[in-house]
Amino acid sequence: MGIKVVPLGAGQDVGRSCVIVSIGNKNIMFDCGMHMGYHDERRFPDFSFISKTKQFTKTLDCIIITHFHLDHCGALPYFTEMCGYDGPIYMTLPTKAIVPILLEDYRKISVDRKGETNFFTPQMIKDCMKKVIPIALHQTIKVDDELSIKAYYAGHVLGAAMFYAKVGEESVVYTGDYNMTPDRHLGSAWIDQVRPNLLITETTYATTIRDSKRGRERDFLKRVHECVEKGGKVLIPVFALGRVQELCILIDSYWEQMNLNVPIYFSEGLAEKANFYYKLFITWTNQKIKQTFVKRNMFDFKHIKPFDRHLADAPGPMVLFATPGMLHAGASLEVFKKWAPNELNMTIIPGYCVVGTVGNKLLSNAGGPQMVEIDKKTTLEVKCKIHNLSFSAHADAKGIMQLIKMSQPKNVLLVHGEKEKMRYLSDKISKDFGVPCYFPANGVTVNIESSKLIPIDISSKLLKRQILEYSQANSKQFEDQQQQQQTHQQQQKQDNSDENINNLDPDEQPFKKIRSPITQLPIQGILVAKDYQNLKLLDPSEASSELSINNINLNYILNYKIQTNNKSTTTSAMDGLEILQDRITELLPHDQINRINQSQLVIKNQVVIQFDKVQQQFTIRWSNHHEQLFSDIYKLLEKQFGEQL
Amino acid sequence: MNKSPINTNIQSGSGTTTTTTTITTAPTATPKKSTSSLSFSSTSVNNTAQQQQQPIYPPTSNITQFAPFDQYLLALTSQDHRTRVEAILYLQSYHLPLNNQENGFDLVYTVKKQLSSEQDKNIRVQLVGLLKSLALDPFVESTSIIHYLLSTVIKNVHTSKKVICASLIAIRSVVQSKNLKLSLLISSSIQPLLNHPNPLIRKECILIFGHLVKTSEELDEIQMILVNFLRDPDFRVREASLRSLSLLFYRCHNLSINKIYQQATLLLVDSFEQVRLECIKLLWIFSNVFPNHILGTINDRKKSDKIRLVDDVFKKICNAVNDPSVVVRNCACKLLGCIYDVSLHYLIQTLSKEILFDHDNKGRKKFQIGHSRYSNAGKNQKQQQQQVLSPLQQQLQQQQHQQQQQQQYTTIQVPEGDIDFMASTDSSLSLVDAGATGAFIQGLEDEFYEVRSSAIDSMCELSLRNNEFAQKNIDFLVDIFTDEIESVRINSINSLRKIGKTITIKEDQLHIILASLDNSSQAERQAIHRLLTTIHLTNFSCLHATVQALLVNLQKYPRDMYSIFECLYKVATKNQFTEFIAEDLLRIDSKFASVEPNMDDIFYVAIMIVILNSAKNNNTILSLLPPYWVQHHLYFKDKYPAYFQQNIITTDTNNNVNNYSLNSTYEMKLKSQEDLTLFLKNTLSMLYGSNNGNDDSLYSLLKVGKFDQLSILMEEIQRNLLRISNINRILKPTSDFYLMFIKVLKIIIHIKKELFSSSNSQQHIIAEKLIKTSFKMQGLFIGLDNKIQSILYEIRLYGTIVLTISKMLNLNDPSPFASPPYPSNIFTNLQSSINIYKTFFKDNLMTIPEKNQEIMDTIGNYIIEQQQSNINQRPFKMQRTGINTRQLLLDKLIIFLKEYQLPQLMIQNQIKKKVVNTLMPPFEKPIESFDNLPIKLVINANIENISNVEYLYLQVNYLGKSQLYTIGSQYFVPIKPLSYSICLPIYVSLPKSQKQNKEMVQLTVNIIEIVPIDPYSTKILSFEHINEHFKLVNLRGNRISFNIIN
Repeated sequence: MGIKVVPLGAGQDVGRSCVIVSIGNKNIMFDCGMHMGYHDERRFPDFSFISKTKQFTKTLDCIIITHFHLDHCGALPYFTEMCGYDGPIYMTLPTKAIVPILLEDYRKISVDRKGETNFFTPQMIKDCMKKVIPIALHQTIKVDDELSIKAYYAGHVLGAAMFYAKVGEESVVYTGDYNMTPDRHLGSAWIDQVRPNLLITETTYATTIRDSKRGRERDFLKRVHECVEKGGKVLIPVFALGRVQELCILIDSYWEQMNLNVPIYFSEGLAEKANFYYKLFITWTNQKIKQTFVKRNMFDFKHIKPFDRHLADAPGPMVLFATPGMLHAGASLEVFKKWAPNELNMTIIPGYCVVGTVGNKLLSNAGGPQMVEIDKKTTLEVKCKIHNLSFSAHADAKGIMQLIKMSQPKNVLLVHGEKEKMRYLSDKISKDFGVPCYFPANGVTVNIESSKLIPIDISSKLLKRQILEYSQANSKQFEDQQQQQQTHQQQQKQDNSDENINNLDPDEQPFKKIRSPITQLPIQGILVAKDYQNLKLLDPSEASSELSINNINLNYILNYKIQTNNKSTTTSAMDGLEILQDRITELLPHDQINRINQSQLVIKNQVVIQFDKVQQQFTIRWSNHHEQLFSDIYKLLEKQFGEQL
Repeated sequence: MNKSPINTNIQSGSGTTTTTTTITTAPTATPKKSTSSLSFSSTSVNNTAQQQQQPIYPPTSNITQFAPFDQYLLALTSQDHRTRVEAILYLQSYHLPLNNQENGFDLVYTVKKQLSSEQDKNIRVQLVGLLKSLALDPFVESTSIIHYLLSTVIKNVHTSKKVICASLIAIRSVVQSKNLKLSLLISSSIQPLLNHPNPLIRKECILIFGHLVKTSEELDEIQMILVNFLRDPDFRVREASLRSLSLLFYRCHNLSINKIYQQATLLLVDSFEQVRLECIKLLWIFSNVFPNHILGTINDRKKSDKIRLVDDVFKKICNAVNDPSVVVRNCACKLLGCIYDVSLHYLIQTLSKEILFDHDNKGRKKFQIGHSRYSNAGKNQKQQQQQVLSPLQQQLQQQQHQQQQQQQYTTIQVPEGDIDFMASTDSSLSLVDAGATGAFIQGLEDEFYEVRSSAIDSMCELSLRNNEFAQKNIDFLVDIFTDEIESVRINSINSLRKIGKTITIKEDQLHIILASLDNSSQAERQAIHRLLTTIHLTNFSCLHATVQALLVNLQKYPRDMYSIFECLYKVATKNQFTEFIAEDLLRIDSKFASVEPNMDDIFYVAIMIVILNSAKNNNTILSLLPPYWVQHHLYFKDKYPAYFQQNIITTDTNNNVNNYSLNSTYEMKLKSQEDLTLFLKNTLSMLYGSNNGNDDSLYSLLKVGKFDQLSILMEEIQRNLLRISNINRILKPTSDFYLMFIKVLKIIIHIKKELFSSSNSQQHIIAEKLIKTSFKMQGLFIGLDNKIQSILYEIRLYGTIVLTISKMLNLNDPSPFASPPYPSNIFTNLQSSINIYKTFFKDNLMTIPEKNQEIMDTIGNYIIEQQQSNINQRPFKMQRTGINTRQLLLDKLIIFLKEYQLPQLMIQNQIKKKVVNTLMPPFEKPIESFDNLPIKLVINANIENISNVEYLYLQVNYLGKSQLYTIGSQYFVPIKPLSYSICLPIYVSLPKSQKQNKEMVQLTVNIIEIVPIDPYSTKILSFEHINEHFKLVNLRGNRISFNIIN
């Protein structure tokens, strides 16, 4: 069967994450994002790859959205409403709540400000969200009979999740964006040891190792504080949701602590909405916030006020969180234009900027004064300080390795990163873990062979019985050997010679072997293949009912006559049964042997032995279930009485 | 041969074995039914029918909680299910441990008998449990029980899994606690069970093995078994094997490291967290037992490498800090602190994300994957260098820069502080098995505060043993000061304090520490205060910053006052830089005459604490001070004796300021402790007389009866003691105690001199005063020895006698002949006082002084006589004789009082006084109470030398009434041994005022301790009994007074 993966976006690139995975006969689309760097048709993934005839609903079994960042969900309404996909969409509850806000914001910027046409409408966003099925953390949802998905906590932003998808024996983990180090408001990503066939992981910081978190925080606060003290203005371009909440908590509590009264602003009304959702989904945050929210909700900021446009020209120091985070449009760019020429001011870019955005241009030569091209017409002289502090909540190289170690995949596929770095990391992964690692470009298909395992269900009844029998046999064998050894040792004592030491060793070998745990077990049963179900290994009794075949019971009777020639050995006729009973008891010490009356013996309630003393004849009745038992008894009979034959 | 199918029979069913008879009413199942029938009562026609068939609870089992033993034995074999279960439970909880051997024998016999016939497996489990408890009993022979369990219960094939399990647990607990010689038998009969399909049984077997080993041969064998079972498919068994291996270590067996170590390390990557947890614990034991064992490992380059075991384990545990499970991470962080003797090289690695690796044969090449702390320094230097460059060069550089950018293809920028390792090398360093690298950084960044806290503990622990590590630690511990969770912050503060002596804190680090003083949590601020006292301040600007920060703190949170004073006091005595900042602190400008500050201003007090205490080491400071400091010092040392030196004046200046010295007869310079002790001794000799027969002592005068000369001497003694109390902190409690004793003496002298000459009412008051003082002496000090206590009891007895006499006289007075005999209640006090006195002496094996014994006998006899006469009821005769005997008694008592010699009270050991420091409420405006609603008053106090806080209460006094409030134990925050700080709210509701107008009510709160009058009586405290059996001793703190408008 195997797994096929095609990245439609985010292959050797960051932005418009969209990965199509085919497991078995199921096709899943992980994320459906847009690219911040483009304004033409390249911003959306090339959906024609999936189906030339736009039969998306037929081809795809489901869409899974990991979190609310636009590069992971931006193309969703376009795909569902304008391209016509009508299948199930899964995302976590916070994601479902926040996605429409961001989409609407994005729509406004594109349509209202830039005047684009052929864009999705607010109604389309609403319709699209109606199709979304929420999934809770660690909840397993069966998409259909074969495909099941499960969500794991991913850190990164509120409601971000990693998804584990399983079809039959093959499984895929798609991480989305995740963070392995906890921060001020979110915990760290965590996943079971699910051992998927394929792990698709983001690699934004594939070759970076993070500085310690606290040092980073202090650097940030120190910079802001210094700048504000000198009377400068600090611009922090952020996205309305995600990192900014962490920074707000950080700055708010610092202001509280240092008793500062320099105003902090947060642009756009989005902030209140965002904070509302953070308050609402408190269970998705970290330990501290969960524990203390009864006393004071950390998202009720004391010092942070909403921003008004005219405040940008106000004199005096201030701190401003402005959207969007990559300085490509909106309030942040507007304010940046005003503040950039002053060298007292500072811009801190707390995250990652996509190629083509102003933020990216700024960062690529963050050394000193520069001219930056804002758009085709304007260039701007930037004198203010530019800093990039790693508050981006992506896992670093060590974190990626940690996640691989945690989930133990058989193959790894890298997306959402840069080619060179991916190549470097993939070398590391294949070396350290000994698993194949891929990093396909957009539109390139990767085929992953999976081991052709055939799963067989085993009935618990059969399994239990077999284990019991096997272990009993084992311990019996062990006891026998123990006795043997004891006698052996006694002999040794009598002999007391040196050569026995050599004899001892081979004896001890099996002895030791027995005392180790049972890790393998031979099982005898009936293999049943029925319809399209898995193969089943069943107990004979179960097999008959499973296949609705009648169980045939054969009863046998054996007459066994003792030759009376040799009366000297068997003293009296009555003794025949008694002797047999003794022998059987020796053979089966643990089994139930009942003497019904003088002439009848019942073994395990199943084998009945009658003795006719006149005719000197045994009559043995048994059924086909107890063939083995009978043959044992028969051997005894032969041994005891058969020599007269 | 004759085998032929005769009869074929077709069966449809499977026809397997018949099951054992099922029990219809299991006791556990019945309550469920009852609830279900209750909840669906509307449709309960069928249910009620069912109920009738099966009674939900047996009406009453015929067994009660306190039935005799035999009845339980009978009940054990009862037909009824529930009765059997109850019998087992009652036996287990009320009759064990047994009280004689016979019972044990009977019980074991009965239990065994029942076990053999019992059908219900749950009860069988219970019975085995009972056997287990029996086997642990000293009266029961446990060997036979183990034999029984092994042979009959475990060997039996039909025993259920649960019962086997219970028996194994029973055997384990017996083996664990009793020393039996059955190990061979047990091990041979248990070994077959090792292959049992049920993992719980395997687990129990494995656990028994851990306890079983005695000899080295057994050890080898069992060790092999345990190692084999590390591969068991069930995780519980694996966990048990690891635990047994650890147990073997704890039991001092020497395991073979070569056989176990490799196997055990495999379990580090087990899928179950419990297994991983046990595994790192086991490895930790290895590291501590064989730290220097050399391991051969093979590194990435296929070269054999040698590493010490302890280092290897350290690396492995460091790796476990990345574990997905919190429990494992927490444990790993804890264990890191208690691995001893790890190479420094690895220790340092835990603090940085740098990686060391073998690059080539030439040696080690350091490859840094940075932590900004170390890399930043370098960067800054570079930047500075850049600034020096000329503009032309800068331009050049910029051009180069831009060229580079054009060449650069990368789009994702590496943020500042982080390091892109791709560019550095193409080395073979492993990111996953990074070993010790950055383990503590990881631990400190953990999501869960438990883990962070453990990491801090471990860092502190390691720092105490390694100086270099400690020095590198500071940054991280200081970083944690901004943690989200308070307990973590406090932990890091305290950790830093513990290692504070070995490290030097840099100025910037100090500033971060000081910034935390703004914190809103009191506990945290106080922790920082304590931290500051241990830090060595390297220069005067540090000191200045510290003092300023503390002053700001004082301003913001005035209730930290004592903590801040204490901190300033210690800081000041330790450092030498005060002289540079003194002027600044006092805001003295040489150009202007300074205004004399207000002495009650706590900021001024704080500053003076710093200055005057550093003056002890550095006299030049005093010369800088404005002249009024001497007067201020006099005031301060009285008001805050704990924070001010009594005499900072050195010998040279002594004469100038000596005018305040009260005593000129003693020219002793009271400086050193020895001097003071001698002074105290001399004073005491004035009291008791010295050994060489000096007759001028107070006691000898008293003996002779020269009361007139006494007063001068006594005054002098009092003065001396007062002086000592003022000067010396250590001797203060002792001299305070003597002072109180002098007070007692005075009263006694007063009684002797003037008793019965003055009016009666005064006698009463004086006696009360005497008793009260003796209680105070007992209550306010701790560490009083028996001798002193006996004297205190004696004083109390004396007081009671006086009291009784005054009562007798009162009755006598009106008409001595017509009066009826004394009501018996006159003597109850006296009698109980005598009883207490006697029991005290008896309990402490002391002999009662003759005279006291005499008088007590007299009183005793009299009381008995009176009781008898009361019974005889012969009023007339008795009256006459009664008067006579009564007069006789009165005379005797008065003579006793007059001749009484107070024994010499000498304090041999160091005693401590209970001290309460209260903080005044911050508000000055009176609180208003509305409509009878309770008012919240916040009480802040520090108490010292209290051994038992449960006897402390708050006494609220208002309008002549007083009320007691309990203090919940959660409000006592321990500061030092026997010292606590209290901060609690109390809610007082005042009665509604009668008047229309509001009026001001003064309300005071005292902290009091309740001292039992009779220490041998039961100590049940209830408020009704306080007056009868307990005495309230006011712990003389400042009264906290509130003004309330009612």
